[in-house]
Amino acid sequence: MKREMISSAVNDISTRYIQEAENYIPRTKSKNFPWWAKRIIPLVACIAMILVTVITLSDKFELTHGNGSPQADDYVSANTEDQSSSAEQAEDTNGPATSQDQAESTIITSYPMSTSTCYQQPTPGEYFCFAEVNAARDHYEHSMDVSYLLAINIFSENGEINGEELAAEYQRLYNDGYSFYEVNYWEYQGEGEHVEHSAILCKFSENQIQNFDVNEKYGYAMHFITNGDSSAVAFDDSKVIQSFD
Amino acid sequence: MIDLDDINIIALFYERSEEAILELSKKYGSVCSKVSRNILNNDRDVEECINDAYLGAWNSIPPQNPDPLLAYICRIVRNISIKKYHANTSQKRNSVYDVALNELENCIASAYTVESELTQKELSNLIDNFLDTLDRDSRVMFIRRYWFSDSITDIAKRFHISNNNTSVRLSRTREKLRIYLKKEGITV
Repeated sequence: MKREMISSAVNDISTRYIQEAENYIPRTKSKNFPWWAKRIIPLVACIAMILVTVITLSDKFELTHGNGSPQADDYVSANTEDQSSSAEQAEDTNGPATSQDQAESTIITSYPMSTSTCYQQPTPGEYFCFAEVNAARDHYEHSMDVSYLLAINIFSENGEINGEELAAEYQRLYNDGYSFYEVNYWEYQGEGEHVEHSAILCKFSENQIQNFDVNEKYGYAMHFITNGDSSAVAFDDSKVIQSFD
Repeated sequence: MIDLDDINIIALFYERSEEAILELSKKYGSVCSKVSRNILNNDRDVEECINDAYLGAWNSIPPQNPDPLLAYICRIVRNISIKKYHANTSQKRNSVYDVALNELENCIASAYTVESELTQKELSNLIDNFLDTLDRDSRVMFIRRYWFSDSITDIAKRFHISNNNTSVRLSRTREKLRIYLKKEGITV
């Protein structure tokens, strides 16, 4: 009697429970891993975390020291000269470059990087390029077909040279085949006002950078000049400087 | 094969179309067979009960308009199967239903049907209320075991847990039911 009562009582339970029980899909329990996997998985996770940390710090270190490569889409501000006469381009890439063989090459005028770097004054007989210049050179794989429009800061033992001494050194370089141009750029001043300046920039081929003709009296630092908003300066090859006398 | 929804199947019943039985069988035949088999443990009896259930549905729809149809037809199958189970005195009491009923029996005092005025319907309402207090997994597990009379192994597979875990969880739910019924004045 008792059994029948229970059976009947259970039989009469609400329809919604029956429907729920038939349609219910339990949550799938996560797979049980073997004991060794349970120990290895956290270990692998730890190693992965350490690797990621090391790689991240390594990248950061390189960027801070100016050797990091820029991100893919934020790099180039290049002026490309007319390629129509590229067939006439000088073929000698081992000897000293001339201003003529630079004429048909791609000219890089800036190469934005997200980090800024401090540099020591170069000692006499030494020269170096700023990190963004080296990053641009790396990006172009040190191609001999690419030129860079760079400012040169020249230092003697007494500090940065200027005036007649600077003009004389520019002239020496010009005589050695380096091309110089007058370039206008602007800087912010006051409340966002643009102030125009002009600078003398040198167009270097990769070969000229690699085999820079150093005067042992001076140290040289080469870098890009950009406008106040980091945009590239406008390059006009008609503003070539023929003499510094 | 087109799987008609419940409304269309009921519409076929209302039209007195024999296709109604066919579609009902296609959609819910396997569930009904399982419910019956868990109680009767005999394929021939199961088939007989299923056919009786379909006939019952044919005779009751219309005027009935069951919603949901699944619970309705399963309840008919279960009722007929239990009647068959009790009527068949020669049947060995070793079906899943029998085992499940034994488990549940201990939740209720043996004297209650004699001494209390609690009706079957009231007990059913109490069980309903008790089920409301359970979490969904426990509730479904309980219904699968004591309404559908599923075996422990089937429930364990359904919930992706071990047989032992299933038994333990059902045992805890039964204990909760016992305490609940005791609170409601049904002493063990």
